[in-house]
Amino acid sequence: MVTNGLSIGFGLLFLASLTGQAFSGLAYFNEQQMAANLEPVGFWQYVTSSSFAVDVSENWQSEYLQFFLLIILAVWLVQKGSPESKEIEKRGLESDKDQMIGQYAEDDSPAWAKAGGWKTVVFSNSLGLVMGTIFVLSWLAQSVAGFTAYAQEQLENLQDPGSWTEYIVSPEFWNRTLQNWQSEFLAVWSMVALSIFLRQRGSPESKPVGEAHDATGVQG
Amino acid sequence: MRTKVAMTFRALFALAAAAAVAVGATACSGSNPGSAEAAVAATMFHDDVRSGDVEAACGLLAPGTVEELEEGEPGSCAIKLREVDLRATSSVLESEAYGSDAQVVLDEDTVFLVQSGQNWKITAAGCTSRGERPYDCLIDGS
Repeated sequence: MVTNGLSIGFGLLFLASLTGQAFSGLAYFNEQQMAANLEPVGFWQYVTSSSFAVDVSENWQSEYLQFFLLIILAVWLVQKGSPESKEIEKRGLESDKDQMIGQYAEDDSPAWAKAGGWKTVVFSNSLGLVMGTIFVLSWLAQSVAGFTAYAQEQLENLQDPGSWTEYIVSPEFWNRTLQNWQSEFLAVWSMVALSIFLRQRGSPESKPVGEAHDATGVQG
Repeated sequence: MRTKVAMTFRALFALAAAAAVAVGATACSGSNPGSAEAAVAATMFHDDVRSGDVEAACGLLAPGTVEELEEGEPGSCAIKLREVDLRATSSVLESEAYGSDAQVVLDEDTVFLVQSGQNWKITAAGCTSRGERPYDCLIDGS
């Protein structure tokens, strides 16, 4: 339990937020129904509606893009003094020895790190591959969900709904997408830059409190 | 640090992926009325009007649309509906539902609907396309 605290903690926060979103979303949806003298919908009817799917999926793609880019770019880009960066001289893919793969694998290394060949190549990039795939899938989900929301708005105004292909080249889609991207990139930039000079005692996201500002690749 | 962060990421992926599957699956197989039901409601409305059962047709209209149609004379929906010159339709060409709204294109009419509980209610009928601008409708409660 203690050794999995971080994943359990965030998992519970995620589920609690999602549940809260479902109930507040239902209340908001029914508020609008009542205002139009329409019948309210039930909980299960709401959570299986596209309205809920739109709201749930909307921010996911940008979160995955953020982590995907951080994982991939941090291989080659470093930041002096930031605990988010590895040591300056370790820029790049590093040697097989440093990465403990193939003949340099240790007894407790994962099987695919020892295997060599395509298995080791795939495993060596598995985090980025999975992250990138989830980003693409969630962006696709956003485009479908976003189109549904857009089409619904069009219908409310007695206009034709248009098509998904029209939607993905529309200013509406790109505005929603870039709105999310800019905030994620700002958050990463802040984390990288502020952690050079600021500290959080005991957090692995920070350097030790007494560590020098220019020390790189150090965790607290 | 990288390893710890990566482990957290993986746990979060698993949760997010599970939620994505759940959301996707439920959104596709939900209990909400779909485009087929919208087409049925639009056809029923036209059938009721054509057969003279305007009371039943009024029951298929959304409350806001009834209000607009009655123009401040509550209870006059059936009378007002008789005066509307809706063109007779015989087939459904296309039916699309997005969220809580739907559009049914019939051979001689376009009907707009809104979800009310488990049913579709008609918001506008007798509609003519005006290109990019909103449709021009004989019955309009939007």
